[in-house]
Amino acid sequence: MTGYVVRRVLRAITTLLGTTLIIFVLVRVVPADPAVSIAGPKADPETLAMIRKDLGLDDPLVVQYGRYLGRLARGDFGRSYMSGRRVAEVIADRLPATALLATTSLALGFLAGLVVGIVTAARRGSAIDVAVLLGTLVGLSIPTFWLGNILIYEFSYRLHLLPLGGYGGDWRLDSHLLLPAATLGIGEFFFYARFVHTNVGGTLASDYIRTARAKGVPPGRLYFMHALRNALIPIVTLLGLDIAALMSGVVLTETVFNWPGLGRLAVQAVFSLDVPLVSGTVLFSAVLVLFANLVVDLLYGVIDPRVQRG
Amino acid sequence: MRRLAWLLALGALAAACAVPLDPPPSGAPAGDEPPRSGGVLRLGDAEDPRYLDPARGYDVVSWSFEQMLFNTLVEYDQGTNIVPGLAETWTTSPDGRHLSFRLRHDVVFSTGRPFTAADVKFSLERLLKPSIHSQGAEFFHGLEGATDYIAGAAKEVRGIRVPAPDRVEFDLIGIDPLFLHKLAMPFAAVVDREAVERFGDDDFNAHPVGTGAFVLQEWVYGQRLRLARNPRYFRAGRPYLDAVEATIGVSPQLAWLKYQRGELDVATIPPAEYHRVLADPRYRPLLISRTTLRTNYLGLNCEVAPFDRVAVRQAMNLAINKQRLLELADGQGAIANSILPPDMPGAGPVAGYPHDPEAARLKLGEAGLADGFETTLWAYRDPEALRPAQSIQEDLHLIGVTVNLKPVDFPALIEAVRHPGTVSLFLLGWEADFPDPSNFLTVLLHSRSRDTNNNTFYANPEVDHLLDEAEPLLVDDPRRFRLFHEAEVLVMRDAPWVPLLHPAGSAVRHPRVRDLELHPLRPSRVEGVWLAW
Amino acid sequence: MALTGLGSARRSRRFLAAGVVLVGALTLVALAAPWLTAYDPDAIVVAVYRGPLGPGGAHPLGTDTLGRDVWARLAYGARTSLFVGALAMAISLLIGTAVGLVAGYFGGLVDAALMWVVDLVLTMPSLLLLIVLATILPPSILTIPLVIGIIGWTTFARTVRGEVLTLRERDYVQAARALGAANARIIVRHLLPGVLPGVVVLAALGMSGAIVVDAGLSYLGLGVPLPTPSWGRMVSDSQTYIAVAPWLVFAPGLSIALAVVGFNLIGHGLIDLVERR
Repeated sequence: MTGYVVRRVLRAITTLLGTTLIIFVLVRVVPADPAVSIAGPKADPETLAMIRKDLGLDDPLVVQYGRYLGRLARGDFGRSYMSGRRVAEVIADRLPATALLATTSLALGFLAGLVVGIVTAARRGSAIDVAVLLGTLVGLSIPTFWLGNILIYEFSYRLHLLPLGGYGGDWRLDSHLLLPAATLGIGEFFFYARFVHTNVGGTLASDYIRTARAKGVPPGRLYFMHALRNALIPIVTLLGLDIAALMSGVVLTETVFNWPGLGRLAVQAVFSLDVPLVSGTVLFSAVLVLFANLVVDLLYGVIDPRVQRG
Repeated sequence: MRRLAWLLALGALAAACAVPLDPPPSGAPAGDEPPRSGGVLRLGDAEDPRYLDPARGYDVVSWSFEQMLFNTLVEYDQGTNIVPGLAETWTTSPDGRHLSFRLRHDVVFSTGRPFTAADVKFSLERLLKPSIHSQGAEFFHGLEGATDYIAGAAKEVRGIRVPAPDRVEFDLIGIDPLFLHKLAMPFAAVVDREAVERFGDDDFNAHPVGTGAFVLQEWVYGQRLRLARNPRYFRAGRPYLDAVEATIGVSPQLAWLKYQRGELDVATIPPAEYHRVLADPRYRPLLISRTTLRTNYLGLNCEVAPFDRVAVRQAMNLAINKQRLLELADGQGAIANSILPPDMPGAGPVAGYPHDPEAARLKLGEAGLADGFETTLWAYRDPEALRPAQSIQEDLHLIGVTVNLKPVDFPALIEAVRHPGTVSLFLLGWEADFPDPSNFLTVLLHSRSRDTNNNTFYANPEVDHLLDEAEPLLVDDPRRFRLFHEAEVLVMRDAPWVPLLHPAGSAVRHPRVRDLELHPLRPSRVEGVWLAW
Repeated sequence: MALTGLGSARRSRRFLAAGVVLVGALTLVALAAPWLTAYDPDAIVVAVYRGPLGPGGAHPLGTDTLGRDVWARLAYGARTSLFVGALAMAISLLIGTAVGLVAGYFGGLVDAALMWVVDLVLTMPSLLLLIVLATILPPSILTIPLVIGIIGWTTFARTVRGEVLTLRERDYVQAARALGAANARIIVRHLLPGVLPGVVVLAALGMSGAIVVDAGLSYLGLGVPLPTPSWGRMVSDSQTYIAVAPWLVFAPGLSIALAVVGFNLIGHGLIDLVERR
């Protein structure tokens, strides 16, 4: 087990380094004048010179990269030049909102998808099968931002049921969260529903289960003990892959609903030409995804010891 | 299955119809009662105010909050007349170069510390400090010793004298008929030296301390800003309000819906709703209109090809369909054919350019660009600002000019246009800070303003000369406005701008809000606002 | 992640047919756009602008917030979506297939290194990475597909690699190696045809994915620049008018959904039909 953990952690670290390298290259190497890119167009020549010296932009790239890593390790993501605040601070401000939205959406979508997937897998008749496959295919084709707008139109403008975006503040699970979580969660729902339906359905049809039934094991136990456990393993993998997709979905959902999270922050930073903020936010998101994947993989290793040998 | 599909289709069809206009919140919009103390004014903003520090803020949102927190020596009344603020009385010397102010004795900062003349000196010197990078500093370069102070050759501005704790005196290099107006600008607001020293220049923005009607109670970035009544405010009985609370992150659409539900007290009307709201009798008593001294314009960078050629700039003027821009703005305002808005004192008729795409093509041909050219237009990325941008893009396409749109955030836009050689074409507007042509012509088109607001980098020595000549003349001297007018005519001929519109703005108020007046030059003073319930 | 088929060939054919119909209609609209509408999609066609016009009369889907014909923008927008989608998918396909072939065939260190890169790309939230690129690169009808393509090749790589791992154990491949054939020749002549069916499936699904990503980017304002009509952009431009002119939001969004559904139907329909085990 420890060998697996070590290997997985090592891999996560190297991937993390790779990610920082990509961001570093994009920010320092690609733009014509990185100092202007970092300090912003309003900086006067003295500030630019200071930035060049401070960041060592005249040093060899390797040295610069090393320094950049050192800064990141200390939590220094630079300063947003639009507000002057430290990027780490700005991210910390916005993180709770995104965390709330992402976890709620994932929880809702995953659970609903799980339930529907299991229930429909049990009734694997032709009509239901087609309905699920077709339904999830269509459901997954609906653009998140369009769905968000439609929900706003129906529930906020027409029915006056729910507030139009914005944020309840702090960790309140209130009505402001409902529509954004529904928008993002619906996508998750279709995703997991299809997968669980296919996988659990496949497991139920397997010889192992049929043998158990033949031996007289009652249906209830069958579903929730055997089928689910076997289907759980690939589902856990899926969760890991899903986190990255979730972050992308979060960006769109936050924009539609004016939700003050990291996704909307990144988009705003682009239009403020605020390179430190953009790169800091993206890097932070990547780290989150990496960490989540690591946790999922380690969990996977516990659930299915076979994978440790992989 | 098929029935379900039909139901869904019908539902979708029914759903895709316009939503009827909801009524405004209920309640009597006006009455005879006297002003009443108490209540919280609820506002909504999409973003946090950029600044609360008066030395830095130069936009409408920042100024509206700064006015709540700070005071200036003099202020405007409901119109454009100068009335006492922190100063009770003042005199001007016969040669116009020395002003002496006697200050009120009953003013204290919100911390309790008494306000004295030394605070005035401190605030203005802070404004001039190079490290503050204030855009308002230029207004006070006319003080004696200001340039030395800025260059670091002097430790203080000798033109600001404090002969007594309740007297402050100014010495100017030359006559400045607008000096009082400049002192009425939020840049000249008095800040608490102790707070500045304690928090530092940069963090004073988050911990502002002034003499104003309100104090900053809470600022949670991205969520809310709350200003509470200052019990020590020197105007007895004011402010009426207990507090002003601004919810941040509220888009204009959301603000509108919240307003209709009675959750916000003031809201701007979303352009989508304009026609319906203006035609609706239920909203009429709640409308607040504002004619502003503002010109929206297309700026042409005179230092970047091909806009360094007059013929090209004139072609741009001829190509733009301003009538359609006015239509896109729902008719709110008037077409602009000159630099100065028509309500500006001293504004006179200027010939301007007609909408004539054929003539525009000919002009391009004159400049040797008959095949057109490609350029980039920088604009504020708000969808409402991008609509005129796209209209302009289409107009220019018709004369062979390919325009790439670059939408950016507003702060990024106003910073980028200052950089020579960075922005060739941009969409901006300018609103008068004080009611005088110099606030447009000198600030935006004099060659010495190239580092601040002359973002077209326009430089015409003849125009400069006219502006310099006009500046020291007294306001009621007929030559002043005549010289400015001559300068304006020259500028229009050189066409560094395509003046587009003089917009008007509308907003709606909650029926309980009383005495909310829109001022032509400044955001409303909230200290006089009261809530009927 | 292995894609599961639909379980029956008949069902697959039906899905495939439905998808072909949708995509066919879409392509037809895109190609025939100039004949399907009298208007230039970028031109402002109302004489006087008084707000968006509803469907009816001279404008089958009304006019938008600038006075342009909505149906024209929708039809020409199909061109944008298809072009960007196809180009992005092609780039992903080329990079991903090449990587998958090389990684699967050579194995060992090469494989490990390439799969590490795949992991890297997969970890980065794609939309956010695209956002960073948008800050740096000027957006154009060529750079957007390039950027989307560079992010999206990982599925191709993984799937192709998986197939290659199986295929390279086959007799004819072993024989070719034993005979001393050049690696490149083996890859191109023996392995490539074997992975093609899977690649075709992924191509269809890749199209749908690219269209969605492009729509999302356009929605955020980071896609193909104005005034080129783009469905995602049409949604974001008119969402503030949704209460007054909801069709401005519904129509482009529906178009995106239909295009994506079409390609997804084709992709999923093909899975069972191309598999040759």
